Amino acid sequence: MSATIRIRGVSKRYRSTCVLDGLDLEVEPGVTGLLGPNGAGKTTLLRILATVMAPDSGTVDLLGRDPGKDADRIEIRRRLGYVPQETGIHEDFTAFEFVDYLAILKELTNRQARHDEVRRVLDVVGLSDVRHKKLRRLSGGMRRRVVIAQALLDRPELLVLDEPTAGLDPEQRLRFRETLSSVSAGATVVLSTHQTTDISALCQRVVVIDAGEVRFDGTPGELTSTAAGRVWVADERQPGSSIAWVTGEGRVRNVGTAPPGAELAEPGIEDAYLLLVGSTSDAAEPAA
Amino acid sequence: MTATWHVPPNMLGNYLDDAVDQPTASSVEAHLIGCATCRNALADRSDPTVVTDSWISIGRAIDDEFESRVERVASRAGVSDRDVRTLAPTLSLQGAWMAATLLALLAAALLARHVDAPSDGLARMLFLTVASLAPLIAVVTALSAASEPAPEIARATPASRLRTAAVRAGTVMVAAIAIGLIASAVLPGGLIEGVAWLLPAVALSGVGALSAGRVSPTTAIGWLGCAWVVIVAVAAQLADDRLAAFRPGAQGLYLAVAVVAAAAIALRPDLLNLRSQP
Repeated sequence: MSATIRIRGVSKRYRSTCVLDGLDLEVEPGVTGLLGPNGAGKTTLLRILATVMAPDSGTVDLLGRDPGKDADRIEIRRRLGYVPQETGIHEDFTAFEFVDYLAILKELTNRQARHDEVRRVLDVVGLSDVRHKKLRRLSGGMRRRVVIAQALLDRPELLVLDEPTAGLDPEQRLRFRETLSSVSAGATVVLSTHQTTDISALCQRVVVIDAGEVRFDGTPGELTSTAAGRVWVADERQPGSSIAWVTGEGRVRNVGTAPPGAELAEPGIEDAYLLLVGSTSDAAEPAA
Repeated sequence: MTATWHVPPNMLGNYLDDAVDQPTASSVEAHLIGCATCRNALADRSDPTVVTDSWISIGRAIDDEFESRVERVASRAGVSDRDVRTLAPTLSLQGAWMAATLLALLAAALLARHVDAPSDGLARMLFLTVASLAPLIAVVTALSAASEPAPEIARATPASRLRTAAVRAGTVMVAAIAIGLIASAVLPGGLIEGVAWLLPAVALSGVGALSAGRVSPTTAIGWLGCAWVVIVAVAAQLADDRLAAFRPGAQGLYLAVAVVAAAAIALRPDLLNLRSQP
């Protein structure tokens, strides 16, 4: 399968801070998850993929086109769905009006066909019944689903989702997984999340970014297997442990370099993530 | 009774074919509400395409009911539903904004009408200065992110942001000028003298629109507003005439600035929103 996203040597700086440092990445159709600590460069990368930001250097190819060229960028945007991390949305709009407005910006000009499409995407995210309520009267989770709905307009080939499950309760997250499974067939989906369970459940591939560089690129299973033999339980925090916590059973789960004879435990994806990005407090936060 | 009796298959078929009289149709529908067995039987015999089409039609009918009065009026006036939706979130087109602008200008006009001595002109100078600034503030605000329902998402769409900017700026300009003209009607003296703010307003709005792509709306409005007040005050001082900045000689200058700004926007429309590139 050929890559729909090709990134070579992409760098981006904000004043003196280097956010992306010569990043290389190829993404094929399917769901790819981005993991990384806060400030790792995930949002910057996703904004470049969503064509709202240009890199300082390097080359980007999206759906076989160059977003640096005006005509190509417009064509990419016609085939793109984007959920940004933070959305200041006009709360006087109803859910229907908001999605309809973005459908207009996505060049769905025929009124009846556009309204049918707006109803379809709101139905996909389970908001048909509240579509004529003002956004300010909807819960945070519902507003997030409205934003997800607009990204599904016109069945995009490339979906860029920056923490789409932030603010969703457990049931809504499960429904989001179901929604994404139904819409992602044949499409390229790149999503960032702090929920490692979302990565395990949704993604065929996971990319870990830290300090603007790719630290891991493989399947969730491969990421998890990097922690094999490095997770153990004991009655207390032990030497060699990078991070340790008391589990619900009252034992201490240690992640790091296991001592000889340690009682090894089945590693999870978050254990592997923690080992990969180190034990800084910032790094530990996303895997919570 | 409904627990044991069910709609006979032939009657259900006739109902589906619309071949029963009205009392029978009503009776069948009343029964269907309380009988899952008959509803399922009806669903099994129905054409799924017809059912889907019916739901789509119902959805359209419901959504049409929710069309706002403004949308209906605008639609009848020939404005496309696309432009109505684009204009709806524009901050300087909100009712409260326009009412506040009208009240402020009416207050300044009434002050000029009732307070100014015939040869004084201080309150008139105040009115003309404020009236010149109202379209500037409206236009720059319309071009700012505050008037965009979802700025980050909108940037990732193929729509021309210049078209959106032009529709919003043009409409708020017309609205602000209309409000200014209403307030001007309260002023004593001729209409020509009362609308001496118009050309300065157009010139300031043009320069403001060009600035909006480079600096924040607050900075653009702040600097241009201060510059305009200084120009009015200095001209009044130098000419010993409080309305010197609004006399015919100065109007020619504003016309020139407005023409240059309009030409710049026409030739380089990208200047309107450089901040939202790419």
